[in-house]
Amino acid sequence: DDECDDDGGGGDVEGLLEEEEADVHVNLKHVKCEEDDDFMSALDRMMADSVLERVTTMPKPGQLDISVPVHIKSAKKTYDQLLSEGMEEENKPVVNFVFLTRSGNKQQYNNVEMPIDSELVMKLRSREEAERAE
Amino acid sequence: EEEEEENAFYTKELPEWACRYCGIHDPASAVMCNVCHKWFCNGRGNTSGSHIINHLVRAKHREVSLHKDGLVRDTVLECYACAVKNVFVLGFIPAKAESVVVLLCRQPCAAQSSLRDMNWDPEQWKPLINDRAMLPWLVRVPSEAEQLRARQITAQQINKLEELWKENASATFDDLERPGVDEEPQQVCLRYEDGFQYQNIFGPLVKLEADYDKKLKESQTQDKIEVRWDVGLNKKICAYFTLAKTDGDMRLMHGDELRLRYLGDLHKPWSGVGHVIKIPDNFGEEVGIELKSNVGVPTDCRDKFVVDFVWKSTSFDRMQAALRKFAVDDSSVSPYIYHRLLGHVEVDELIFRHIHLPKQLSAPNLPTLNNSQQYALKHALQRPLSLIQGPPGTGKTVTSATIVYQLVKQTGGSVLVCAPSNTAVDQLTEKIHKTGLKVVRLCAKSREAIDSPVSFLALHNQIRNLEDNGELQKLQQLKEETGELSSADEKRYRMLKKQSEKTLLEAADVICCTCVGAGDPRLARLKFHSILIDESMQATEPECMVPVVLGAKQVILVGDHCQLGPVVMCKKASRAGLSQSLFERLVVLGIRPFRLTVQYRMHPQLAQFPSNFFYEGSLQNGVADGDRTMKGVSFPWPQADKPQFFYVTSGQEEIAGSGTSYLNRTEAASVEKLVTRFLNSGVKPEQIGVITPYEGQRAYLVQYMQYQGPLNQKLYQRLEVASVDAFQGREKDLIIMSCVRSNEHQGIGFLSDPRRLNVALTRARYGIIIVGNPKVLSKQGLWNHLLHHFKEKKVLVEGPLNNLKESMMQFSKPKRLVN
Ligand SMILES: [Zn+2]
Ligand SMILES: [Zn+2]
Ligand SMILES: [Zn+2]
Repeated sequence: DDECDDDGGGGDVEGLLEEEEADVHVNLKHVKCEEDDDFMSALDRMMADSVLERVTTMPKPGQLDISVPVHIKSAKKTYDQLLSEGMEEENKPVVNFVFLTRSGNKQQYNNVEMPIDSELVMKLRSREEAERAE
Repeated sequence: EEEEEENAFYTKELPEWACRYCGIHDPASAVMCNVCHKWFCNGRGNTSGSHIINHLVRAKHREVSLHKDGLVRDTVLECYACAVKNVFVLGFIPAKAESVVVLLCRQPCAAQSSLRDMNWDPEQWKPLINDRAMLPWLVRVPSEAEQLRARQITAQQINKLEELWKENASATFDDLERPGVDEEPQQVCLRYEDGFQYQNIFGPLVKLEADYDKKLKESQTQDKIEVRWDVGLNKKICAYFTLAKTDGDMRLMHGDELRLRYLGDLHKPWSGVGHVIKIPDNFGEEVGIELKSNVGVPTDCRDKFVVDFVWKSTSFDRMQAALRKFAVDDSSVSPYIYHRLLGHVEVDELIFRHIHLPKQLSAPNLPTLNNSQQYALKHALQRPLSLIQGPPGTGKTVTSATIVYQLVKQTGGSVLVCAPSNTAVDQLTEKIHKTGLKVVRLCAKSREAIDSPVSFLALHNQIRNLEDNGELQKLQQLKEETGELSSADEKRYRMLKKQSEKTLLEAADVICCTCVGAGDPRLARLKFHSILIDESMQATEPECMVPVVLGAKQVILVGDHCQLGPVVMCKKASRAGLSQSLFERLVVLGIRPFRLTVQYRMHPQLAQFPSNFFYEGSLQNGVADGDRTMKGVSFPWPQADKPQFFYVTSGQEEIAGSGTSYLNRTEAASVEKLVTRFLNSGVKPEQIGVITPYEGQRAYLVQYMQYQGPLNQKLYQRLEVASVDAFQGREKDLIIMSCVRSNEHQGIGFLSDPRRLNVALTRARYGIIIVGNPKVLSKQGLWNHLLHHFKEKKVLVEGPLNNLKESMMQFSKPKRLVN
């Protein structure tokens, strides 16, 4: 991308812009039109309105004893153990995570596969490396 | 063969979780909307968002469930802690040490500091919707091959399908073929054969806009409303409540009607209609209505109320009536005006030669006119149809008021003065009143309770103060005290009131009202030969016609086509040309607007860019640097003689990955610091205006300043924080603009529209500060110019306020110039 000669002044913005560009490449068949532009601004507004609603109505935070389930804690795995071949067609390796949700009073644990290049996975990995280095 | 495969794909019985847009039915890709129980996939096809997101946004639905055989088994997505189900605020945070994530809402649950003690990492909160799709590890994104094989639905077709579902929930893609769905209205013309053709083109556009408005208003019902009761000064019962923001398109305004209904069991069923008297502002998000009737109101109940929006067809009916009148009634306007408005070129420009121009071209108690204003006045007095262009701060209102004064003196008849908005009408009314003319301000009945600086000139108030109508006053008093009159008394009261109204209106030199207000039945019998419309570029053409058809022989349109145009909500009507003002069309027809050229508002440094960019450098300064330098206010302007700067911020914040940022905390913090600095150096809050294009940022700024600002909360409350549109036609001593972000996909309120930017840049008298990210903004042609302008002036700065330094940030190349 030679469009912007960044001097390092706006690091995270640059990231953002790249994300936008990437968007266009992934979405090969994307057809730009007025209806689609309207959709994008309507989505942005809906996002903003939803957040705003939470900020202005100030709901009470829910009960917050969210502890990591014991069975996961005890069976703690290393990054390498979590790593597995992905189900995706590209066969990109993925990392197994447990996704904790609740429906009514019922706790649910689901195994989910996080993309290996996600920020989450990278953080997990670098933390482990840091621990090992100690 | 391929075709067969494709056909088979469509005709095969699809499972219920098949995407209602494209047919993809892998359970791992399927998401169900909890509101309408339709399923959609997480693929984008050829649009910029995944199908489920497209649906949620267009239908304004917000809750979803996943399939039982999906990546995450059968679950309604809701916050683990508070159970909120709005997917637009849901996201997840990871545990610090384990490979676990938990579903939490951003506010307030993921913002709790106690999470850290429980070994979670709330800083890493990430939204469920990213890049306009659901996260792929939660809902699978169909492969490209799958998407190519599926039905190729376009954004237009998605729109139409969603529209169809509003009438028929089980409609399918095939129903789109039905005739009638696709019709586009006829485009507006530059010239028209006759009044009938004119009506035939504008009538359907007004109808489209009316239908759109109706649909929008009637879909806004909200339940579970808690009500706070109060009694107004006029003894009428008022209800206050908070509405959830469901739709950014909907703007509640003073005078709108809402219906309140009680659904609980503590009182018998009740419903009552009232006019909006308070809208969300700095002092709170509450909405207030004044009920029309005090009878049977369940004031002892607090909750279980429902609010409906009541759609009123009045303004649209009046436009239609005006169009009809223009077509069939040859006394509606003079023949000259008729042909001119229709663009008939064979009509030569007419000049009133018999007009005797007074030597003294001014009006009592108003400032003397400068040269360009005097020419404009002469120009207008001598012509049956004239356009006056008043760039910001050029004394448009004073010029208009003087023209009105002179018209009354010349013709002896009464003059009708209109503008699209009540604010603009009030401003002009105030000035005209100063000249000593007899002015009546005619308000819509629904706005009588709303206070304004010219309330005393309002017809309903002038009636109260009329001498020798003791009987009317007595009846009025009785009505207010008891709430109701006997039917005989009511009849008598109405008759007397009508009589007094008639007397007052007939005796007036000038009647002021909004354009739509000119269709008030109380004016129906009156004829106005001279009509002046201020801010006329903000009215649609049919709106302008409402006053014009009251007998116009002389029409003066005042405005500035370089500022904001009319708001047309219906895209179809807007595309067909309803958003072009009469002023603009007449300019295109070759009627040269007479431009006022001396600006008295801005510090000359502030006027430079707008003058060069929007007015071909024609703006002269009627004020000197010294007149616009704040005495005794110490503020660290980077260049002492140039009270403006661009304050570079680069901390961007995304809201849940929607692709653009609409809430920017870094900018809000900068704005707070700037405001605090001004307040500390003796500037009053009323002198400062904060402009931001997004409602989200407005609400956040208001909150942020009041709770995070170091000074008394009340000070920040007195500050005006609003959109550009709210500042049009007004000025402030100091303007701070928080751009948040301006990208290529703009909607209402955005700063990439040159006319909107012009308005934003021309509100300040003493100084302006723009807070934003140059890298992002400079992608826009117009902003690129503005940024270079600031850079050349050495006022593109960054760093702490006490130590502002010139920013060396490189700009992006503009992608394209905005039209
Ligand atoms: Zn789909
Ligand atoms: Zn739905
Ligand atoms: Zn929550």
